[in-house]
Amino acid sequence: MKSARKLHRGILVGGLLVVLPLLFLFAKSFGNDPRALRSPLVGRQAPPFSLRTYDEGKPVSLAALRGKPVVVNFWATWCEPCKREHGVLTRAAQRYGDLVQFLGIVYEDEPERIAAFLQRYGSGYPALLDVGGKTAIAYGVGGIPETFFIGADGTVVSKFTGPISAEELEARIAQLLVAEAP
Amino acid sequence: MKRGTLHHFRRRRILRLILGVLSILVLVLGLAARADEAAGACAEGEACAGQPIDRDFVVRLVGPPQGTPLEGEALAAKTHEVSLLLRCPTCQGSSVADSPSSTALNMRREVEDLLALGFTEDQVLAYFEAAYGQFVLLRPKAEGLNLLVWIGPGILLLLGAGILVVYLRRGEEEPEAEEVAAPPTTAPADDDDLEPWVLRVRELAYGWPGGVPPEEERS
Repeated sequence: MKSARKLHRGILVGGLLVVLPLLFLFAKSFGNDPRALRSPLVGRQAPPFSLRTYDEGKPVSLAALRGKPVVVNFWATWCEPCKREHGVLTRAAQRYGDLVQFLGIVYEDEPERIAAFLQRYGSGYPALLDVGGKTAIAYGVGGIPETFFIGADGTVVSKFTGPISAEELEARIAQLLVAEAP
Repeated sequence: MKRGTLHHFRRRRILRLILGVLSILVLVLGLAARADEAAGACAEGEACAGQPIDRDFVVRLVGPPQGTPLEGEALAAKTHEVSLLLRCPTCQGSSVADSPSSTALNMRREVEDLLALGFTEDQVLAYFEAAYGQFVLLRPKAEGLNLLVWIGPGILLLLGAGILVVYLRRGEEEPEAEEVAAPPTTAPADDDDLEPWVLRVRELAYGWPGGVPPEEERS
Protein backbone atom coordinates (compact mmCIF):
# COMPACT_ATOMS: atom_id res chain seq x y z
CA MET A 1 0.00 0.00 0.00
CA LYS A 2 2.89 2.29 0.91
CA SER A 3 4.71 1.55 -2.32
CA ALA A 4 1.51 2.12 -4.33
CA ARG A 5 1.08 5.52 -2.70
CA LYS A 6 4.72 6.32 -3.39
CA LEU A 7 4.21 5.34 -7.02
CA HIS A 8 1.07 7.46 -7.32
CA ARG A 9 2.91 10.40 -5.81
CA GLY A 10 5.71 9.83 -8.33
CA ILE A 11 3.26 9.87 -11.23
CA LEU A 12 1.64 13.03 -9.87
CA VAL A 13 4.99 14.83 -9.49
CA GLY A 14 6.14 13.63 -12.95
CA GLY A 15 2.87 14.79 -14.51
CA LEU A 16 3.13 18.19 -12.85
CA LEU A 17 6.72 18.54 -14.08
CA VAL A 18 5.47 18.04 -17.63
CA VAL A 19 2.21 19.98 -17.42
CA LEU A 20 3.34 23.05 -15.43
CA PRO A 21 6.00 24.25 -17.94
CA LEU A 22 3.46 23.76 -20.74
CA LEU A 23 0.84 25.77 -18.82
CA PHE A 24 3.47 28.47 -18.24
CA LEU A 25 4.24 28.63 -21.98
CA PHE A 26 0.52 28.79 -22.86
CA ALA A 27 -0.12 31.52 -20.29
CA LYS A 28 2.86 33.50 -21.59
CA SER A 29 1.89 33.26 -25.25
CA PHE A 30 -1.90 33.38 -24.92
CA GLY A 31 -3.36 36.54 -26.39
CA ASN A 32 -0.26 37.30 -28.44
CA ASP A 33 -0.92 38.00 -32.10
CA PRO A 34 1.12 35.36 -33.97
CA ARG A 35 1.54 37.82 -36.85
CA ALA A 36 2.94 40.53 -34.62
CA LEU A 37 6.26 38.71 -34.46
CA ARG A 38 9.29 40.93 -34.63
CA SER A 39 10.40 41.06 -38.25
CA PRO A 40 13.83 39.54 -38.85
CA LEU A 41 14.41 42.47 -41.22
CA VAL A 42 14.59 45.02 -38.39
CA GLY A 43 18.18 46.22 -38.03
CA ARG A 44 19.16 44.83 -41.45
CA GLN A 45 19.49 46.42 -44.88
CA ALA A 46 16.04 46.74 -46.45
CA PRO A 47 15.56 44.39 -49.41
CA PRO A 48 16.15 46.45 -52.56
CA PHE A 49 13.35 46.86 -55.10
CA SER A 50 12.81 48.60 -58.37
CA LEU A 51 9.10 48.78 -59.18
CA ARG A 52 6.93 50.80 -61.51
CA THR A 53 4.04 53.10 -60.65
CA TYR A 54 0.64 51.59 -61.47
CA ASP A 55 -0.41 54.44 -63.79
CA GLU A 56 2.53 55.86 -65.72
CA GLY A 57 4.89 52.92 -65.29
CA LYS A 58 7.53 55.26 -63.89
CA PRO A 59 10.36 53.26 -62.26
CA VAL A 60 11.01 53.86 -58.55
CA SER A 61 13.91 52.16 -56.81
CA LEU A 62 14.74 52.11 -53.12
CA ALA A 63 18.45 52.53 -53.86
CA ALA A 64 17.78 55.90 -55.55
CA LEU A 65 16.14 57.14 -52.33
CA ARG A 66 19.20 56.48 -50.16
CA GLY A 67 19.82 59.49 -47.93
CA LYS A 68 16.15 60.02 -47.09
CA PRO A 69 14.03 57.94 -44.68
CA VAL A 70 11.35 55.89 -46.41
CA VAL A 71 7.97 54.62 -45.23
CA VAL A 72 6.89 51.59 -47.29
CA ASN A 73 3.27 50.54 -46.95
CA PHE A 74 2.02 47.24 -48.44
CA TRP A 75 -1.67 47.53 -49.26
CA ALA A 76 -4.45 46.50 -51.67
CA THR A 77 -7.83 47.81 -52.75
CA TRP A 78 -9.55 44.60 -51.55
CA CYS A 79 -8.14 44.98 -48.03
CA GLU A 80 -10.65 46.66 -45.68
CA PRO A 81 -8.17 47.72 -42.95
CA CYS A 82 -6.07 49.34 -45.72
CA LYS A 83 -9.00 51.68 -46.44
CA ARG A 84 -9.05 52.76 -42.80
CA GLU A 85 -5.35 53.59 -42.69
CA HIS A 86 -5.18 55.15 -46.17
CA GLY A 87 -6.29 58.58 -44.91
CA VAL A 88 -3.79 58.47 -42.03
CA LEU A 89 -0.93 57.73 -44.44
CA THR A 90 -2.03 60.33 -47.01
CA ARG A 91 -2.23 63.07 -44.36
CA ALA A 92 1.17 62.10 -42.94
CA ALA A 93 2.67 62.13 -46.45
CA GLN A 94 1.39 65.69 -46.94
CA ARG A 95 2.81 66.76 -43.59
CA TYR A 96 6.19 64.98 -43.65
CA GLY A 97 6.66 64.65 -47.41
CA ASP A 98 9.76 66.86 -47.41
CA LEU A 99 11.51 64.83 -44.75
CA VAL A 100 10.29 61.32 -45.43
CA GLN A 101 9.47 59.52 -48.70
CA PHE A 102 6.21 57.56 -48.60
CA LEU A 103 5.77 54.62 -50.97
CA GLY A 104 2.79 52.32 -51.38
CA ILE A 105 3.41 48.83 -52.76
CA VAL A 106 0.15 47.37 -54.01
CA TYR A 107 -0.19 43.71 -53.28
CA GLU A 108 -2.08 41.37 -55.62
CA ASP A 109 -4.15 44.00 -57.39
CA GLU A 110 -4.99 45.51 -60.77
CA PRO A 111 -4.22 49.03 -62.12
CA GLU A 112 -7.91 49.80 -62.86
CA ARG A 113 -8.98 49.02 -59.32
CA ILE A 114 -6.05 50.98 -57.87
CA ALA A 115 -7.00 53.99 -60.02
CA ALA A 116 -10.64 53.83 -58.87
CA PHE A 117 -9.57 53.46 -55.22
CA LEU A 118 -7.17 56.40 -55.30
CA GLN A 119 -9.70 58.55 -57.12
CA ARG A 120 -12.23 57.91 -54.39
CA TYR A 121 -9.98 58.06 -51.32
CA GLY A 122 -7.25 60.44 -52.53
CA SER A 123 -3.63 59.96 -53.39
CA GLY A 124 -0.55 61.46 -51.79
CA TYR A 125 2.42 59.29 -52.78
CA PRO A 126 3.47 56.79 -55.49
CA ALA A 127 1.59 53.48 -55.69
CA LEU A 128 3.88 50.76 -57.07
CA LEU A 129 2.93 47.45 -58.66
CA ASP A 130 4.59 44.31 -57.27
CA VAL A 131 3.79 41.84 -60.04
CA GLY A 132 4.47 38.29 -58.85
CA GLY A 133 4.84 39.49 -55.26
CA LYS A 134 8.63 39.15 -55.15
CA THR A 135 9.08 42.36 -53.15
CA ALA A 136 6.36 41.33 -50.69
CA ILE A 137 8.13 37.98 -50.19
CA ALA A 138 11.53 39.66 -49.70
CA TYR A 139 9.90 41.81 -46.98
CA GLY A 140 8.19 38.80 -45.40
CA VAL A 141 4.71 40.25 -45.90
CA GLY A 142 2.14 37.84 -44.47
CA GLY A 143 -1.07 39.81 -44.16
CA ILE A 144 -1.57 43.35 -45.34
CA PRO A 145 -1.51 46.12 -44.34
CA GLU A 146 2.10 46.12 -43.23
CA THR A 147 4.28 49.21 -42.95
CA PHE A 148 8.09 49.29 -42.91
CA PHE A 149 10.12 52.24 -41.67
CA ILE A 150 13.47 52.46 -43.42
CA GLY A 151 16.23 54.80 -42.25
CA ALA A 152 18.20 57.16 -44.51
CA ASP A 153 21.04 54.59 -44.58
CA GLY A 154 18.71 51.90 -45.94
CA THR A 155 18.34 49.97 -42.67
CA VAL A 156 14.90 48.73 -41.57
CA VAL A 157 14.19 50.61 -38.33
CA SER A 158 10.80 49.07 -37.54
CA LYS A 159 7.79 47.27 -38.94
CA PHE A 160 4.11 47.70 -38.10
CA THR A 161 1.53 45.03 -38.85
CA GLY A 162 -2.13 46.01 -39.28
CA PRO A 163 -3.82 49.38 -39.88
CA ILE A 164 -1.63 52.04 -38.35
CA SER A 165 -3.10 54.89 -36.28
CA ALA A 166 -2.08 58.53 -36.71
CA GLU A 167 -0.37 58.54 -33.29
CA GLU A 168 1.59 55.37 -33.99
CA LEU A 169 2.64 56.64 -37.41
CA GLU A 170 3.83 59.97 -35.98
CA ALA A 171 5.79 58.21 -33.24
CA ARG A 172 7.52 55.93 -35.77
CA ILE A 173 8.31 58.80 -38.14
CA ALA A 174 9.80 60.71 -35.18
CA GLN A 175 11.93 57.63 -34.43
CA LEU A 176 13.10 57.61 -38.08
CA LEU A 177 14.02 61.29 -38.00
CA VAL A 178 15.87 60.94 -34.68
CA ALA A 179 17.87 58.03 -36.11
CA GLU A 180 18.75 60.19 -39.08
CA ALA A 181 19.97 63.13 -36.96
CA PRO A 182 23.76 63.04 -36.34
CA MET B 1 -4.89 -17.44 -7.28
CA LYS B 2 -7.62 -14.80 -6.94
CA ARG B 3 -5.11 -11.97 -6.84
CA GLY B 4 -3.27 -13.45 -9.80
CA THR B 5 -6.46 -13.47 -11.85
CA LEU B 6 -7.18 -9.88 -10.88
CA HIS B 7 -3.72 -8.72 -11.98
CA HIS B 8 -4.06 -10.75 -15.12
CA PHE B 9 -7.25 -8.86 -16.00
CA ARG B 10 -5.71 -5.50 -15.17
CA ARG B 11 -2.61 -6.21 -17.27
CA ARG B 12 -4.74 -7.29 -20.21
CA ARG B 13 -6.83 -4.14 -19.93
CA ILE B 14 -3.70 -1.93 -19.90
CA LEU B 15 -2.18 -3.83 -22.84
CA ARG B 16 -5.43 -3.47 -24.80
CA LEU B 17 -5.41 0.28 -24.04
CA ILE B 18 -1.79 0.63 -25.27
CA LEU B 19 -2.59 -1.33 -28.45
CA GLY B 20 -5.63 0.88 -29.07
CA VAL B 21 -3.63 4.10 -28.67
CA LEU B 22 -0.86 2.78 -30.95
CA SER B 23 -3.35 1.78 -33.68
CA ILE B 24 -4.95 5.26 -33.61
CA LEU B 25 -1.48 6.84 -33.82
CA VAL B 26 -0.51 4.71 -36.84
CA LEU B 27 -3.84 5.51 -38.53
CA VAL B 28 -3.45 9.28 -38.03
CA LEU B 29 0.19 9.26 -39.26
CA GLY B 30 -0.81 7.23 -42.31
CA LEU B 31 -3.62 9.62 -43.21
CA ALA B 32 -1.31 12.64 -42.80
CA ALA B 33 1.30 11.06 -45.09
CA ARG B 34 -1.35 10.38 -47.75
CA ALA B 35 -2.63 13.96 -47.53
CA ASP B 36 0.94 15.17 -48.15
CA GLU B 37 1.25 12.99 -51.24
CA ALA B 38 -2.11 14.16 -52.61
CA ALA B 39 -1.22 17.86 -52.31
CA GLY B 40 -0.23 19.33 -55.66
CA ALA B 41 2.66 21.67 -56.33
CA CYS B 42 2.66 24.57 -58.78
CA ALA B 43 -0.08 23.36 -61.12
CA GLU B 44 0.63 23.09 -64.80
CA GLY B 45 -0.60 25.92 -66.98
CA GLU B 46 -0.21 28.55 -64.25
CA ALA B 47 1.23 31.74 -65.66
CA CYS B 48 4.52 32.41 -63.87
CA ALA B 49 4.38 36.14 -64.33
CA GLY B 50 6.41 38.69 -62.46
CA GLN B 51 9.78 40.34 -62.50
CA PRO B 52 12.99 38.30 -62.45
CA ILE B 53 14.46 37.44 -59.09
CA ASP B 54 17.08 39.78 -57.62
CA ARG B 55 19.88 37.21 -57.63
CA ASP B 56 22.47 39.54 -56.04
CA PHE B 57 20.17 40.23 -53.09
CA VAL B 58 19.60 36.49 -52.52
CA VAL B 59 23.35 35.83 -52.79
CA ARG B 60 24.01 38.51 -50.16
CA LEU B 61 21.64 36.70 -47.80
CA VAL B 62 22.40 33.02 -48.36
CA GLY B 63 25.63 32.98 -50.38
CA PRO B 64 26.20 31.90 -54.00
CA PRO B 65 24.19 28.91 -55.32
CA GLN B 66 25.66 25.68 -53.99
CA GLY B 67 23.67 23.23 -56.07
CA THR B 68 23.08 22.52 -59.72
CA PRO B 69 20.36 24.50 -61.50
CA LEU B 70 17.26 22.31 -61.84
CA GLU B 71 14.86 22.14 -64.74
CA GLY B 72 11.92 20.13 -66.06
CA GLU B 73 10.45 17.39 -63.90
CA ALA B 74 13.26 17.51 -61.36
CA LEU B 75 12.53 21.22 -60.81
CA ALA B 76 8.78 20.62 -60.41
CA ALA B 77 9.36 17.74 -57.97
CA LYS B 78 11.87 19.68 -55.87
CA THR B 79 9.65 22.79 -55.87
CA HIS B 80 6.84 20.69 -54.44
CA GLU B 81 9.15 19.10 -51.88
CA VAL B 82 10.50 22.45 -50.62
CA SER B 83 7.04 24.11 -50.71
CA LEU B 84 5.79 21.43 -48.32
CA LEU B 85 8.33 22.70 -45.78
CA LEU B 86 7.14 26.32 -45.93
CA ARG B 87 4.14 27.72 -44.09
CA CYS B 88 1.68 29.80 -46.09
CA PRO B 89 1.63 33.03 -44.02
CA THR B 90 -1.92 34.01 -44.99
CA CYS B 91 -3.49 30.58 -44.40
CA GLN B 92 -4.39 28.64 -41.28
CA GLY B 93 -1.76 25.97 -40.80
CA SER B 94 -1.28 24.85 -44.39
CA SER B 95 1.92 24.62 -46.36
CA VAL B 96 2.80 26.66 -49.44
CA ALA B 97 2.37 23.47 -51.49
CA ASP B 98 -1.14 22.82 -50.17
CA SER B 99 -2.67 26.29 -50.31
CA PRO B 100 -4.42 27.66 -53.41
CA SER B 101 -4.02 31.28 -52.20
CA SER B 102 -2.20 33.82 -54.37
CA THR B 103 0.43 34.37 -51.67
CA ALA B 104 1.24 30.66 -51.68
CA LEU B 105 1.30 30.67 -55.48
CA ASN B 106 3.81 33.55 -55.46
CA MET B 107 5.93 31.75 -52.88
CA ARG B 108 5.91 28.55 -54.97
CA ARG B 109 7.12 30.55 -57.98
CA GLU B 110 9.85 32.07 -55.83
CA VAL B 111 10.96 28.61 -54.68
CA GLU B 112 10.97 27.44 -58.30
CA ASP B 113 12.99 30.46 -59.46
CA LEU B 114 15.56 29.97 -56.72
CA LEU B 115 15.93 26.23 -57.43
CA ALA B 116 16.25 26.97 -61.16
CA LEU B 117 19.15 29.30 -60.32
CA GLY B 118 20.94 26.47 -58.49
CA PHE B 119 20.19 27.41 -54.89
CA THR B 120 19.89 24.35 -52.64
CA GLU B 121 16.90 23.43 -50.44
CA ASP B 122 18.70 24.75 -47.34
CA GLN B 123 19.49 28.03 -49.09
CA VAL B 124 15.88 28.46 -50.24
CA LEU B 125 14.60 27.80 -46.71
CA ALA B 126 17.22 30.23 -45.32
CA TYR B 127 16.08 32.91 -47.77
CA PHE B 128 12.45 32.62 -46.64
CA GLU B 129 13.52 32.49 -43.00
CA ALA B 130 15.48 35.73 -43.48
CA ALA B 131 12.27 37.45 -44.59
CA TYR B 132 9.58 35.83 -42.43
CA GLY B 133 11.52 34.42 -39.48
CA GLN B 134 11.34 30.83 -38.24
CA PHE B 135 7.55 31.13 -38.31
CA VAL B 136 7.67 30.26 -42.02
CA LEU B 137 9.43 26.93 -41.47
CA LEU B 138 6.98 24.07 -40.95
CA ARG B 139 9.79 21.89 -39.61
CA PRO B 140 11.25 23.85 -36.70
CA LYS B 141 15.04 23.88 -36.44
CA ALA B 142 16.46 21.52 -33.83
CA GLU B 143 18.06 24.24 -31.69
CA GLY B 144 17.33 26.16 -28.48
CA LEU B 145 13.80 25.79 -27.09
CA ASN B 146 12.79 24.04 -30.33
CA LEU B 147 14.78 20.99 -29.17
CA LEU B 148 11.83 20.28 -26.86
CA VAL B 149 9.66 19.65 -29.93
CA TRP B 150 12.14 17.12 -31.27
CA ILE B 151 13.19 15.22 -28.15
CA GLY B 152 10.20 15.99 -25.88
CA PRO B 153 7.90 13.26 -27.27
CA GLY B 154 10.69 10.65 -26.99
CA ILE B 155 11.40 11.63 -23.39
CA LEU B 156 7.68 11.54 -22.52
CA LEU B 157 7.30 8.13 -24.20
CA LEU B 158 10.24 6.70 -22.26
CA LEU B 159 8.91 8.25 -19.04
CA GLY B 160 5.46 6.76 -19.65
CA ALA B 161 6.93 3.35 -20.51
CA GLY B 162 9.07 3.47 -17.36
CA ILE B 163 6.09 4.30 -15.15
CA LEU B 164 4.08 1.52 -16.80
CA VAL B 165 6.80 -1.08 -16.28
CA VAL B 166 7.29 -0.10 -12.62
CA TYR B 167 3.51 -0.12 -12.09
CA LEU B 168 3.01 -3.55 -13.64
CA ARG B 169 6.01 -5.05 -11.84
CA ARG B 170 4.95 -3.74 -8.45
CA GLY B 171 1.47 -5.08 -9.09
CA GLU B 172 2.91 -8.56 -9.65
CA GLU B 173 5.36 -8.56 -6.75
CA GLU B 174 3.39 -6.90 -3.96
CA PRO B 175 -0.27 -7.67 -3.49
CA GLU B 176 -2.24 -4.61 -2.56
CA ALA B 177 -3.25 -4.57 1.06
CA GLU B 178 -6.65 -3.14 0.33
CA GLU B 179 -7.62 -6.15 -1.66
CA VAL B 180 -6.62 -8.50 1.19
CA ALA B 181 -8.29 -6.40 3.86
CA ALA B 182 -11.59 -5.95 2.07
CA PRO B 183 -13.04 -9.26 0.88
CA PRO B 184 -15.26 -8.99 -2.11
CA THR B 185 -18.95 -8.79 -1.42
CA THR B 186 -21.07 -11.86 -1.90
CA ALA B 187 -24.41 -10.27 -1.10
CA PRO B 188 -27.17 -11.18 -3.52
CA ALA B 189 -28.40 -8.54 -5.97
CA ASP B 190 -31.44 -6.47 -4.94
CA ASP B 191 -33.28 -7.33 -8.10
CA ASP B 192 -33.85 -11.01 -9.04
CA ASP B 193 -33.58 -10.17 -12.73
CA LEU B 194 -30.14 -8.74 -12.17
CA GLU B 195 -28.86 -11.73 -10.14
CA PRO B 196 -27.45 -13.73 -13.11
CA TRP B 197 -25.69 -10.59 -14.38
CA VAL B 198 -24.22 -9.85 -10.97
CA LEU B 199 -22.93 -13.45 -10.78
CA ARG B 200 -21.46 -13.15 -14.25
CA VAL B 201 -19.68 -9.90 -13.36
CA ARG B 202 -18.34 -11.50 -10.17
CA GLU B 203 -17.08 -14.45 -12.18
CA LEU B 204 -15.27 -12.11 -14.57
CA ALA B 205 -13.90 -9.90 -11.80
CA TYR B 206 -12.94 -12.48 -9.15
CA GLY B 207 -12.64 -15.65 -11.16
CA TRP B 208 -15.22 -17.66 -9.17
CA PRO B 209 -17.00 -20.10 -11.42
CA GLY B 210 -20.68 -19.08 -11.61
CA GLY B 211 -19.91 -16.07 -9.39
CA VAL B 212 -19.99 -18.26 -6.24
CA PRO B 213 -17.06 -17.90 -3.79
CA PRO B 214 -15.16 -21.15 -3.07
CA GLU B 215 -16.21 -21.10 0.65
CA GLU B 216 -19.92 -20.94 -0.22
CA GLU B 217 -19.45 -23.68 -2.74
CA ARG B 218 -17.90 -25.96 -0.11
CA SER B 219 -20.58 -25.31 2.56
